Amino acid sequence: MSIQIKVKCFAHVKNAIGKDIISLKMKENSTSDDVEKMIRKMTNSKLNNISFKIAVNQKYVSSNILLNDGDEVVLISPVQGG
Amino acid sequence: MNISPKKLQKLILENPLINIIDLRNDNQKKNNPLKNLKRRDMSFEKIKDSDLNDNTILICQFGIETEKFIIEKKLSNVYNLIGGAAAWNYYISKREDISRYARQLVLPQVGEKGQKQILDSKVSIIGLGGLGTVVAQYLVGAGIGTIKLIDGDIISLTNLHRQPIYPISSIGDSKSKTLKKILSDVNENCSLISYDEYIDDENISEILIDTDIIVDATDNINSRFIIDRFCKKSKIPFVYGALYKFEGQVAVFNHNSGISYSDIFSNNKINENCNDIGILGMLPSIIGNIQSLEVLKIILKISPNLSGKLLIYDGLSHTMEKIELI
Repeated sequence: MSIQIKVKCFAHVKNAIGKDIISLKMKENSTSDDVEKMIRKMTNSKLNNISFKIAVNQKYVSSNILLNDGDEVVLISPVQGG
Repeated sequence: MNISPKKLQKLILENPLINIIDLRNDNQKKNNPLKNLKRRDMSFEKIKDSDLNDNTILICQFGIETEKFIIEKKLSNVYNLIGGAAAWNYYISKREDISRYARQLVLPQVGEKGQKQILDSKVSIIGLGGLGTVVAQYLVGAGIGTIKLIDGDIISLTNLHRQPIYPISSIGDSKSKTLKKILSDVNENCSLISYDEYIDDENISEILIDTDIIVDATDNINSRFIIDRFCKKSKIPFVYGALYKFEGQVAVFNHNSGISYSDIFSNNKINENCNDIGILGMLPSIIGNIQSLEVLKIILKISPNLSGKLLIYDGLSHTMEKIELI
């Protein structure tokens, strides 16, 4: 069994991936941290210096959580321009 | 034609028999009686042309309905009291003319009470670049009582596309001093204090003493951590704004001891800013205005606001993502 996860890309993630939204096919029982690992792998070393916080379905998650089919994930990165 | 409360009082001193008509409804007259003003009570329905002579002053609650009435009836030599009864009563009791805020006074979330809260507020803006110049303009316009303008930077040619308030003649001048000079002409009632220096852990307590709200308009993560530490210690909210290419982030941190910047972000060593990665001038204007709006919502205790939420705006797709941080 697999689940589909929608990743909304902002800032550095969007820059590295080149898309606003991507869909990831993941194994059942995948977690929020697995999404981050997969994104880092997809983008090679482009995001190495950046630490992310993760939001699932528009809510920040402070710890690793199990994902469900259809969940939306955002990797929040700090931006600094002003 | 419009007349301010201050000018009306002068007019009354010159001509005590001037024709002043209160057109408010019974509830408004009962709840907010006009102070120290001889007038006739009428209504929009019953007023006739014969009731109006040269230099008649019409009054409603906020100066909106009477202005519309005068325009629609094409009345000449009839004046609308700007800001209406609310501005008149405020002027009589406080000797301060709030008629310029008529368009925000009329909002139920503002009113006389809210405007007083705005006038009594003290806001510090750290960083006077793309975000800070926009925030400063709109907060001065809204009537914030005291604004500290803080930045050690000078104006450069490449700032001007996103900081168009600075004239070309000001290149090389201090941002804080120049902005203070420009905005002093916008609202004489706003007290502006400039600090021609960057904040650090040593000077921040001294500079930000006696501040109700801090606006983070800086361009680096390290400054945000300095602000965050101070805000947590002093229990002051700060309105965060930051930019990345076509995107912007806004949040209200440390509001009522809520979530803080350091709860969400790590002190990444990211060597990039607007100078390196590029920015269109409109983006800081959009994000700066959202920050200004959040400042007023905090002052006026308006919900919902961005306390405990992170708003991400994408200027390419014009989409917004609002993330609950708590």
